[in-house]
Amino acid sequence: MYIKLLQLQLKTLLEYRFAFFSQVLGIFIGYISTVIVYWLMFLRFDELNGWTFKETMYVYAFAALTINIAAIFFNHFKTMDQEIINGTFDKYLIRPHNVFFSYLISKFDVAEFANLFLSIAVLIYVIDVNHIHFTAVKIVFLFLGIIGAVLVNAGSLVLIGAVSFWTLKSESLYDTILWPAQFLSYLPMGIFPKIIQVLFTFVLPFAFISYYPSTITLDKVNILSAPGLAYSSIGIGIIFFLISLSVWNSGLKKYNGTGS
Amino acid sequence: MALIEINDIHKEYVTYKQEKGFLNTFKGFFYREKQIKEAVKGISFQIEKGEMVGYIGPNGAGKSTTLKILSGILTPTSGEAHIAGIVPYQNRKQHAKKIGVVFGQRTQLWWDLPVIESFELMRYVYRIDEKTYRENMEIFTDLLELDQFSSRPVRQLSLGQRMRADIALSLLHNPDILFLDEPTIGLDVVAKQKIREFIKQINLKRQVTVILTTHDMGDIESLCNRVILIDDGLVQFDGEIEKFRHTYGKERCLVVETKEPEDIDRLVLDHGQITKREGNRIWIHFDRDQVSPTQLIPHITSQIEVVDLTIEEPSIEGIVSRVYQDKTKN
Repeated sequence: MYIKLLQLQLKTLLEYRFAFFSQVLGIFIGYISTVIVYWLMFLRFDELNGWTFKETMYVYAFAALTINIAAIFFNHFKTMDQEIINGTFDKYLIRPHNVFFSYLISKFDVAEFANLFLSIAVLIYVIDVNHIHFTAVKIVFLFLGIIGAVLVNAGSLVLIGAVSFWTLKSESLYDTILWPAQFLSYLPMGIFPKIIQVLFTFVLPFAFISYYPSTITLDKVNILSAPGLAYSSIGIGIIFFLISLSVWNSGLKKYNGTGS
Repeated sequence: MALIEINDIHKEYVTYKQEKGFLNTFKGFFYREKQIKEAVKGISFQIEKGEMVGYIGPNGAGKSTTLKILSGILTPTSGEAHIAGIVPYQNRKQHAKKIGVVFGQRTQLWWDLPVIESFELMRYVYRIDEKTYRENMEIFTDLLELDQFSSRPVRQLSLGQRMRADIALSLLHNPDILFLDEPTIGLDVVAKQKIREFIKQINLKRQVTVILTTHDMGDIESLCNRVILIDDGLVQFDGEIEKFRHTYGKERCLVVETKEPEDIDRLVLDHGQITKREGNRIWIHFDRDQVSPTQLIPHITSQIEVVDLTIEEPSIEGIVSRVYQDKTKN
């Protein structure tokens, strides 16, 4: 079924080739401009609180990749409010599957998928320029870190979708909270005030999108006041995603009750 | 046990009062007054397998709410529903395999792709085996002429074609029950006819139980043997269409054609009223319970010279509009 859906998405794409290419191009420009901004910034400082330009680029590339992977599968949770307002959300409740699953597989962001190749290439490039020496442990934690970060990103998208069960309008939450928060996660969290670090560790675990897992790869775990955090991204990712999922499901229950 | 049994279903919605004025709008951000609106106030009915039931009522009567409860989308505030032994909103997944739902105003087809792709997808969603799929597609193509447009993207279809495709799509997994929410809305006469014919065939051949809401009484007359009229969240009438006509359609209309138009001015009636006059023809409405045509006609012919007489039965459309209007008056 999933494969069939994928085929359909690709066929839809062919119907709107121009829109697809402009979206891919948009993502690409986003990449380039962020890099330029950082590069200009680092022309003025050699280091950012102990982080070099190359290391900061690694944090950015890691975050971008994991946000990208989550977006492929979960991007449409951002616009779930539209489906609820239009009443088209009802169709997921008359399918013989779990509603979350039905909605999840209803869309697959092909442009983000195309972008994945770029994200991977960029990450490999920054790994190369940082001359990282990989050990078995570091490789394992690199992958666990990616999975954990993807789950944090996915969880936050699911959470935004869940909000639309209550307020009917949730996309603006992405613009006002998630997008700026994602932007902060592109940078080494250590440069921010303590309060923001605590917020992004325990409330919205966005520091796990890149900062904490990056410290392992870049041999910087010792700079953390609690080094254990670096190794717990996978656990935090799973917990955060499950919490988001249960919020989503209780929103669904409320929807069953009111249906509007 | 009946296939569909619902018992004293209530459904309340919580809405928030919106007050006028800028200051009040601002206040509304922080505090809103709760209002409970009871959309369904205790509905019970039973439907047997193979029945075709017309579910009618004015806008806002609670039709869609009931339909949503029956299809498992909504949970009622109180009361219970059993469909083939399943509580739809508790065993949603299991229930979904047995029902087909069509929302007239919202398509379930994949908007940008050829119709056939949506059918292919449903084959996977409902795990329909190859043989059933092929058989069904043959039948639907035959009855609905799907092949005329199955390779065109949905957005390019006419409303009638889209509706045909939508109904076929909802029947692909051989459901026992079909819920149709305004299946002929916005369609032309020919398209309506095609859809009705198809629903009739499916009901006949497969014993599919059909519940349809509509505002088009032509749908009811050509399809249903039973009507459930709901208004204000309650069942106002439940029974055969003939009985419906009998209960609410007591008024008849006698059309009289006189020889001389001036004769009409001399006519005195004990019962009934002249509602329309056109040249030498008049329309007299009378209540069948008060006076029978066999009394009324001699009464008229004794006074004036009559050329032609016809008695018009009330149309379902006319009856329903009168019932709705009476309701709003109260």
